[in-house]
Amino acid sequence: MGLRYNKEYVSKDRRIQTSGPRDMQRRLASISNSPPEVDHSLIMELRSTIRDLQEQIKVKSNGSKESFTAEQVNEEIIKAVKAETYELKDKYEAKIKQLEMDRVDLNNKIKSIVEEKDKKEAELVLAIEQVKNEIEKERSVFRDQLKAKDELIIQIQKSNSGISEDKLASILEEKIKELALTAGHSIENVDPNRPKMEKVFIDPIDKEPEIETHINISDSVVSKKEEMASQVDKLKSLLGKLPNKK
Amino acid sequence: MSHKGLDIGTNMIVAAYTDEDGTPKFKMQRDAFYRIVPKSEVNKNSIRVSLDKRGSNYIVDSDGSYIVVGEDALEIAIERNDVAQRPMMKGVISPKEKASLPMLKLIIETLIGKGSDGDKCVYSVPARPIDGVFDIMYHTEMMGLYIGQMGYLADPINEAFAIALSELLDDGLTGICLSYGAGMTNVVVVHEGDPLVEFSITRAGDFIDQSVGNALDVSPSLVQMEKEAGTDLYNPSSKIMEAVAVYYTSVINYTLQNIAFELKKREKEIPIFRHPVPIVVSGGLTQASGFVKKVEEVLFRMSFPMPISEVRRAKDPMCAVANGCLLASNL
Repeated sequence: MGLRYNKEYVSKDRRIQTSGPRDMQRRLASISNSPPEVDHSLIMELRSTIRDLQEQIKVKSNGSKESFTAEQVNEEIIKAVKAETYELKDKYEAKIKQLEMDRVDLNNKIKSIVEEKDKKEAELVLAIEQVKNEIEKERSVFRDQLKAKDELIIQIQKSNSGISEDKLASILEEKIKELALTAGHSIENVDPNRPKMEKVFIDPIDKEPEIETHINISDSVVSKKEEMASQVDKLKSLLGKLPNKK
Repeated sequence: MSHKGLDIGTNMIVAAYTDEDGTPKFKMQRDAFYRIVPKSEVNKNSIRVSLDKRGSNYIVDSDGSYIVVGEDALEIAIERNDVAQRPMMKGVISPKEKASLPMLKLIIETLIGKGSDGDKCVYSVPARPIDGVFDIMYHTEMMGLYIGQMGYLADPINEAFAIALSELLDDGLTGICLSYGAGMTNVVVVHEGDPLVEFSITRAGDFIDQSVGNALDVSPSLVQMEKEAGTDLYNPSSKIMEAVAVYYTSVINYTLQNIAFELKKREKEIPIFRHPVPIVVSGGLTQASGFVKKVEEVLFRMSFPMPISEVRRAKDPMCAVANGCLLASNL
């Protein structure tokens, strides 16, 4: 139970509600003028309140088995802070460790990619080198062929054999084919029996048009039957059959 | 089994056949058509009546328009100040002229009819040009395809060689044949039936029509009609005919000079002719009066690489190719 603090107290017939200087003067005057009335109930109440409070203090002081000094409190605080610090340290160390592992992984991946790239570059360089060698080989073959052709022309001119240009061209072609074959290169057109692409012709007319025709064409020229028959006989005797298409 | 010859020309298609007696007959149709689109139902009927009255050959298309075929196509086009369509240009068909192909097919079928088992049809094709680029192969194969679809065994033959078969029988099939058509001039040098040199030149009748038309600002179709009505190269009767005569000379000069050039270039392929050979000229252009004389004059002025005995026109310049094809079909 708390101490009751009566803000207002009764002094004779007046109720005093303020506590300023004048009120204090009036209070003093009222006290000095008349002997204070003793409020026994109030005293009893106060005493009981004091007793209660004393008991409370006693209980509180008896509740804690030990009391802490400032150093102990300080120590406790430091301990708590340290514990927290260590906890944070562990946490971040673990995180750093994980990041380190990730970094190592990435480095390994980069390393393998670089190795792959180097390997491919080496292969490409090798392939280019091979192609250059092939081109050089072809060049030397053609140089030989041209040389052979020139020598052949000179020979023919010297021999003055009177071979026609076409014959010369066919001889040269044969010679070139021989050279090409001996050099290990094949010419596509060497074999005349090679199957050829079939020529296909598509009729562009989509469908027969639906039309009504009014066309009447009469005979314009009439030859004699005998003339025709003699022409056919003459042609058969001269030609036999039509010449082969070129 | 019947035999037929077919001259597929740029301007004219000529068919040759023999009837039941074995008598040779010829049918020809101008290779041109003109489309008339009726404006109304009444107009449609009046067009039909007019065409029937005229005796024109025509087709009623699926869309109701009238397609006049042949000679009348040219006349009607001129009447309407228009130009008739031609399925062939410069002697060959083109895949780009897809719309004209049904007309060409129809004209051919009208001339030779449907064939049956074993019927043979030899058709003319031009040679590869020396002064132009055309797809001769496409033309040859498509014509063969169409004639085959009509029921025939189709066989192509060079146009100028067909003339040789028709006109050089009494010369041992030895000589030079020139086919002066509308689209091209075809040339062949034949020795004892063997065509040694074959080529074509892209200057012919159409070139003359176009050139005169451009020079005088008239329709080429009109020039063509005037020309076909009768041309005298030494006595032209009008301004148009004077221009025609000039371009005739130009074409003859150009063709003979190119023939001489080509023969000189290929002289290794040509054997030495022991005797002078004849030159036979054929085709629609050669029907002009004075044509042979003009050719002789040009030959006289130039150095021709082989001796020539004479220049003569084919017995029937319009039918010589078809006749040769018909003879070839009997072999």
